[in-house]
Amino acid sequence: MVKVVFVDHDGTTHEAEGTPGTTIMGLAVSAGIAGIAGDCGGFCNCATCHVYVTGDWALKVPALEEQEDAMLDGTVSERLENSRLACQLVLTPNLDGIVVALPERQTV
Amino acid sequence: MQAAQRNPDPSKVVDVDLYGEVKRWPYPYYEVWATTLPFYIMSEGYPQAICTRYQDTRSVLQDLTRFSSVKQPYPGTQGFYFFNAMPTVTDSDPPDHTRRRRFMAPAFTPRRLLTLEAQIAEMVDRVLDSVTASGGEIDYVKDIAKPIALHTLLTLVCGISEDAWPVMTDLVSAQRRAFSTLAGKGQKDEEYQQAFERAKEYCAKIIEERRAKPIEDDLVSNLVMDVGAEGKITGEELFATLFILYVAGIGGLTTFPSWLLWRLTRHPDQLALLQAQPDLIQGAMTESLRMEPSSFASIRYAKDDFTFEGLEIFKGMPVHTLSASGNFDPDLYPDPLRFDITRNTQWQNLTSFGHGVHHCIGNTLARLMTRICVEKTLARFPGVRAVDPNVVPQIEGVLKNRAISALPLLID
Repeated sequence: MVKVVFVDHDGTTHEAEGTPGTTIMGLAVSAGIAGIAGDCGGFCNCATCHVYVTGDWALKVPALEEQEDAMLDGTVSERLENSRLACQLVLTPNLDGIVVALPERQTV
Repeated sequence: MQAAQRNPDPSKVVDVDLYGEVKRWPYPYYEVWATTLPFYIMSEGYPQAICTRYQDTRSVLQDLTRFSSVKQPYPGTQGFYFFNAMPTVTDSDPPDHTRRRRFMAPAFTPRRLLTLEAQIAEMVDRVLDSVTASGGEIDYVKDIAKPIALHTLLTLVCGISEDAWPVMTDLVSAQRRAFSTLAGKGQKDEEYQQAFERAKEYCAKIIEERRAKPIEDDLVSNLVMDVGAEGKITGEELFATLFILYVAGIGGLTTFPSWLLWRLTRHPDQLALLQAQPDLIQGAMTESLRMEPSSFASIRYAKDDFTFEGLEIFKGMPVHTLSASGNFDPDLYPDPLRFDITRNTQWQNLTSFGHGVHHCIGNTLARLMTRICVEKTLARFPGVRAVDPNVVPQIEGVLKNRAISALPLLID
């Protein structure tokens, strides 16, 4: 199992564990993490699973691809250098313990 | 065609008028089909596959290796060409689909829609103001939902002036008349072709105007800039994109609030509950979406011969997935025929907006506009009620869509 720590906009933390191959978006939705919407179901189509990958974890996640890059321009909350869409972040053993911060708002 | 394909297992053939009788009043069928294995219907002597269970529809829609959105020649499919075989985003697979969709995406991102929220609210007030003056009985579809949908999509999202709306609304009407399987035709006719040509001319004019004088943050201006560039959009794709945006958008945006009002006025206890607890609006929208999505079916084509959930599928065979039948699975939604706005349903789990890469790009806009439209309708007309709560609505729409064509309500 791979552990993910979600940090709400107000600083509250939630931990959830998922099997490798699950996406961070999928894990968040199944664990009931309110700060992730995931409206399109995980197909990089809606920009409502925006997360900020904290610290050195940003170096361990896979590189940004073109479609995700384009969709990140449409997030409600500000796009930062460490912004990612959680549907594109697949859990792997080397991400065990990853900490992602959640934006103030995901959708309208 | 293979012999087995011409003579499918008769025990798996269902003799039913899917796009006629079922579409008119689908609920008894949904109740049974929510737990029924895939089956065939016959058209022009050949079988087409129908998937109705929740998991089956999702499996088909997300399996890009076995099911394609690209139309294939097959008997009994002339009614499927309601977009005139254009290179649309809906009738394509990745990577073409990904490329075409990317051009539409900026107009529908949460960030962009957030900027429209106040403008939509202001416009809804104006439309409701005009309705108040006439009083008495109204047709909610024609008098409220449709003008709000047109203002939202054509003015606010696409920047099309009101004098040009008839080009698009005529096209929608002609398309529905030509391709409505409910009227028994279900294929292209002269009226539709003429409306199509007029719309094509109009789109060409808009494209030229925006090319000469781009407008900031304007959907068409942004698309035009990408035409012809390497890996970008072609002129034909641009037209197809605008066409589908206008036609599908107008239909979906008109239908969502209309179905919700039909359901609420059909079930006055639920309407009263919503009026007493306005924050149940999301639950009401989701429940309407569960039972009455704008989409009736999505169609895919088998990429090979294989067996799917016990049904033999042959290469090129159309595979129909019903958008709402899975939402009537009693294990997922107990007492599924009951309209209950307090259900704890996650709308994202419904297949009403589709599933997979073709998930409706306008879903956030539709939910935003519908919420504002219905909240303000109920606030403005607290006595709103059906002229006849038991009315069986007239249905219209091309093969894939199920729209309510009129909804008589009393608002005094």
